[in-house]
Amino acid sequence: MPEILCSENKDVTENCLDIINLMILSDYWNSVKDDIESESKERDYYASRLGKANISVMMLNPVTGEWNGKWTIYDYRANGSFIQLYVPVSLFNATSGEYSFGIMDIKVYR
Amino acid sequence: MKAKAQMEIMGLVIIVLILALGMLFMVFLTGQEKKKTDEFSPQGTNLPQDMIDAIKNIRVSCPPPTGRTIAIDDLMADFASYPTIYCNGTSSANYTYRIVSNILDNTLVNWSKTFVFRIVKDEQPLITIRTYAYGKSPFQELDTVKRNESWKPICFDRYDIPQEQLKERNGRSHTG
Repeated sequence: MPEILCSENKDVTENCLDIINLMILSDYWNSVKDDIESESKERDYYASRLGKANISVMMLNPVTGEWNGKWTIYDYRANGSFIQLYVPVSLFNATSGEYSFGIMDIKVYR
Repeated sequence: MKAKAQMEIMGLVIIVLILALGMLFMVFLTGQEKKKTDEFSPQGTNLPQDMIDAIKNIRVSCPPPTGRTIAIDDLMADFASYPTIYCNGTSSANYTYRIVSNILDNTLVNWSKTFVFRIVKDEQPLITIRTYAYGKSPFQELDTVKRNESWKPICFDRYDIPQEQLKERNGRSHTG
C-alpha cells in the first residue's frame, strides 16, 4: 500500500506510515462497511490484491504508554479461522513533526 | 472401407481427447494464477528488526528546557557520551528508558515473547531495558538467561548507536 507510506520529496521512509493518509483510508472503509453488497471500484482494487483480510493500525504514545488511535485500513472479513500477525511500524504526524510507535494488526482469513 | 471409417473415428476421438486435455490444463493454470492473486501472505516480516526500526524512527516532543521534538537516536547518543539533554527535568537516559520500556511492555511482553532488549556502545552494554522470558518471572538478570540453555531468547536484539553520531556528539562535548 504505497499510498499510506511516509514520503518526502518522493523519498519513502521504510516501515513508516503517514497518519493523515491512514485517516483518509480508514474513513473510506468506515463509509463502505455497512454497504458490503454495493459495487465499489476501490474495494475491488484492494480485494484483488489483499484478498480476505482485515488490517488495522494502532498508535501508542511512547511517552505515556497509552494506546491512543486505531485505524482500519482494509476490511474484507470472512467466516472461519485466520492467521494474525503484528508488525511494528513508525507513524508520522505531519502536524507535530513527531514519529510515534504503531502496530499493524494483520488478520488473514483462510 | 469399414476399417478406414473406423480409423477416421479413432483419429477424431484422439483429437477430441487432446483438446479436452489442453482445456483442462488451461483451466488448471488459470485457477493457479487466480489463487496467487487472491491470497495475501504477509511475508518478509521480521519482528525483531521491524521493532528496532520502528523504535529508531521515534521522534517525540521534549518539553522544556529543550522544548522541541527530539529523535530517540539523539537521546541515546546523548546519554552514551556526555549527557546534556533534559526533557521536563528528565535526563536523556531516563527518557529513553521510559519510551522504550513503554513500547516493549505494550507489545513483546503482552505477546509473551522471550527477548532481551539492551543498548550497547562499542560492544559494551550501556543499559538493559527489558529482559523477559515467557513462563518465568519478568525482568530476570541477563546472565541468568545466558546461563540457562533451555531459554533461547527468540527476540534478542540490541540497538547500536551510530558511530558517526557518537563521534559528532563526543566532538561537540570536547570542544564545547
